[in-house]
Amino acid sequence: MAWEVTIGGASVRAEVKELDGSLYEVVIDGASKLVDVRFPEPGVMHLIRDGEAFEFDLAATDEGQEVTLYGTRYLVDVVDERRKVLRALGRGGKDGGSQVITTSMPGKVVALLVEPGQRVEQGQGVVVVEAMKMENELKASAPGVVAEISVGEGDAVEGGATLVVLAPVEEE
Amino acid sequence: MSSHNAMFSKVLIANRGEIAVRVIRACRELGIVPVAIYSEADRDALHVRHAFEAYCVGPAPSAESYLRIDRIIEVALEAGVDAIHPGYGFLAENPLFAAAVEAAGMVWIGPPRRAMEVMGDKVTSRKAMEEAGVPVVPGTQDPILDDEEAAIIAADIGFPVMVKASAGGGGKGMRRVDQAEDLASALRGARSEAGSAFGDDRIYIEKCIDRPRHVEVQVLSDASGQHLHLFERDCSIQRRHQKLVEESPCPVLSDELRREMTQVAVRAAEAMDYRGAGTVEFLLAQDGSFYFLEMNTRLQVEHPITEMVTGIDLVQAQLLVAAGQPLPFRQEDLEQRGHSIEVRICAEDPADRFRPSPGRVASLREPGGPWVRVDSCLYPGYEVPVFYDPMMAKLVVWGRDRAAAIARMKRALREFTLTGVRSNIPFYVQVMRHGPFVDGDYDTGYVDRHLGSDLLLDQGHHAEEAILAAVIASHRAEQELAAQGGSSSDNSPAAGSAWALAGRLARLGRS
Repeated sequence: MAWEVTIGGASVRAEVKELDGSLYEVVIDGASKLVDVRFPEPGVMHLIRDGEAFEFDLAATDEGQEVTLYGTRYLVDVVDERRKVLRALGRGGKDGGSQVITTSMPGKVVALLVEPGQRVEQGQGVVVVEAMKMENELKASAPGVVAEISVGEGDAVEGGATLVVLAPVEEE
Repeated sequence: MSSHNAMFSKVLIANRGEIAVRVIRACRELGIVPVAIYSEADRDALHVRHAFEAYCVGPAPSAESYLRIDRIIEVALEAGVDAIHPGYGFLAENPLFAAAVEAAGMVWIGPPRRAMEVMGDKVTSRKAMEEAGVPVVPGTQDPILDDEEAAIIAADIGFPVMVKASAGGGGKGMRRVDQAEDLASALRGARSEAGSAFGDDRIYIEKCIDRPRHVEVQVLSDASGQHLHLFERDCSIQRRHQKLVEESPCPVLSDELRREMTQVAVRAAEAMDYRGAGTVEFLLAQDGSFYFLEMNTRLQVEHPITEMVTGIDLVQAQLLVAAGQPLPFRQEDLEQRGHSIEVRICAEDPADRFRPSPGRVASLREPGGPWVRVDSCLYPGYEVPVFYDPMMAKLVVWGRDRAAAIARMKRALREFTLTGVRSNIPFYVQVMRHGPFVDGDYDTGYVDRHLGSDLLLDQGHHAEEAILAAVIASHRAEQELAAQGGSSSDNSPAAGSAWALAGRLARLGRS
C-alpha cells in the first residue's frame, strides 16, 4: 500500500510491504528499508533497523500522527494515496472567511473582551482563557465582526472548543 | 534536655500533588497514618490513592478547597489527627493557618508563628536580618521622596543601582541605572509605571547585583535550640522567577565562602528562634559577596537534592522536630557527599513558549536505575488538572561528582517518556549538554540569555525513523480495519484518515 507522508513541510512517498512475522519492507522514495516492528505496550512501537533500535510513542492529534522519540516530537501526516484526491476536493468549500477563535488547551474563560456585532481589528484581544495559573489572550488574526459568542465568563472549556466566531468585514 | 515525646500517630497533609505524596511516604516510614485532603478535581489524584484516609475539602479552585482554613481544620478534627503538615505553597507560609491549627489543639508542622510573620514581609525580614548581622542588599526600603534624595542615596550605594516599586513585583516599575545622568529619567519612568501597575507610585533604590546567582542554605532547627545547616543549593536556572534546575553543591562556591554563607544562615535561624526546616536565600554576586534575599519558612520544592547529598530525610526530620524530639545528628555528623541535580518536570511546552499544556497522560515510563529519584504525581491515564501549578514531577539524580551527576541526568531524561501532556523534558535535555551549564558558568539570567539562541530545542535527527514508525502504524491500522470487514477508503477523508485510526489502535495495544 502506498502513502504520502508529510513531515516538517516536506512530502515523501512511502510503500509498506508486510513480510514474515514482525518484518516489514518500507520503500521511501525508492529506497528500501527492512525493519522489525513490535508493539510491546499500548501506544508504544519498538523498531529495529540494521541492528539499531528505536522506541516510539504514538498518538493521534488533529494535525497528524504524533511520534515521540527520546523526548522529541515529530508530527507526521500520513495519507493514503488513493484518498489524496478526495481530501483535495473536501477543502475550501465553505470557506467564507469566517474566523473561529478556539482554545487549544482546556481551561477557564476569565474574560470576554468583545460584544456581539462589535468590529475587531487584526491582533485585537477577543477572549482570555486561563489554564494552570496562566492567562492567555486569544487574538483576532484578521479584522472581523463578532458573529457569535459561544461561551460566558467563568465557563470551563475543553481543548479545541469554539469560543467566538468572527464574520468577515463587509467592504463598504 | 527535652523529654522524648511520642511520635504522632496520625498526620493530615494540607496539600496535593507530588509533595503530598512525598509527605505521605515519610509518614508511612515512621508508622504515622497519613490523611489526605482533596478538591473535587483531585478525586483521582495520586496523593489520594496513596493515603490511608482522604477527605474532600471543596470545589476545584484552590480558594474554595486547598486554601480553606476553616474546612481543613474541620476535616482534621473529624479525622482525629495529631498534627498538620502544610507541604509547600498553598497555606504553608500563612501564619493564620498555623494559628488555627494550634488553636484547634493540633501540632503545626512548621516554624514558630513569629518567624513566619517576620519573614513573610519584605520590610520586617530585611530589618530583622540587618539586626542579626546578615548582609542585605545595600539600599533603602523606605520610599524615596524627591530626586535630590535619590541622587544622594544612589551615589552612596554606587552605580549601577536598581530603582524598584515599593508595591512591586514581576519586574514592573523596575529600572537599572548605570550612571548619575540617567537617574532622573529612570525615576520618572519607574514612578509612572508603578503608578499604573499597582496604583502606588512609591519607589526605592537598591544596589544592582550584576549577573547574580541564587544560592540558598537549608537550615534545620529543633526545639532544644540546636540550629544546623545542610549546606547549599544553587537555583540560578530560573524562568520568570520560577526555578527550573537546582544543584548541590553550588559549582562555584569555595570552601571558605560555603563556610561563611552557611554560618550566616545559621545566624539567621538563631535570630528567629527557628524550629523545623527552613531555607535562607541569598544573591551571590560575581565578586563573592552575598546578600540576604528572603527566608522560606517551609520545606522547599528542591529539598531532595539536599537529601541526596546529606543522606538526611528532611520531611522525617520535620516530623521529628514537630513532635518535640531532638534531631538525632549534630552539625559535625553532616557531610555534603557527591553531587545532586534536580529538574522540575512541568506541563509546559518548551517548543511553544512554555505554554501550559494540561491534559491526559497517554503513556508514562519514569526512569529508574541507580541514584535516580522521581517525585511525581503522574500515572498513565491521569488527567493533569488545569486548576493548579503545572509542576507534575521532579527528577533528581546523584553522582560521585558533578560530571557523573550530569551524565546520569542525561540518561534519566532519555528514559523519561511522557506523552499526552507536553512537558519541558526536551528543554532539560538541551540544558544538560549546553556548554555554559556544563561549565557551571551561569546566573539567574541564564534562561533568558540562552533560550532560543544557543540553547535551541532539538529539532530532531530522527525524521526518517519517525516516518517509518508513522507509515507502519498507518499500514497496520488499515490492515486492522480490513480484518474487521470495512475499508477506510470509503470513508470521508477527514474521518477516515489512517493516522487517527493508527493512533487509536496503537493506544488500544492492538498489534
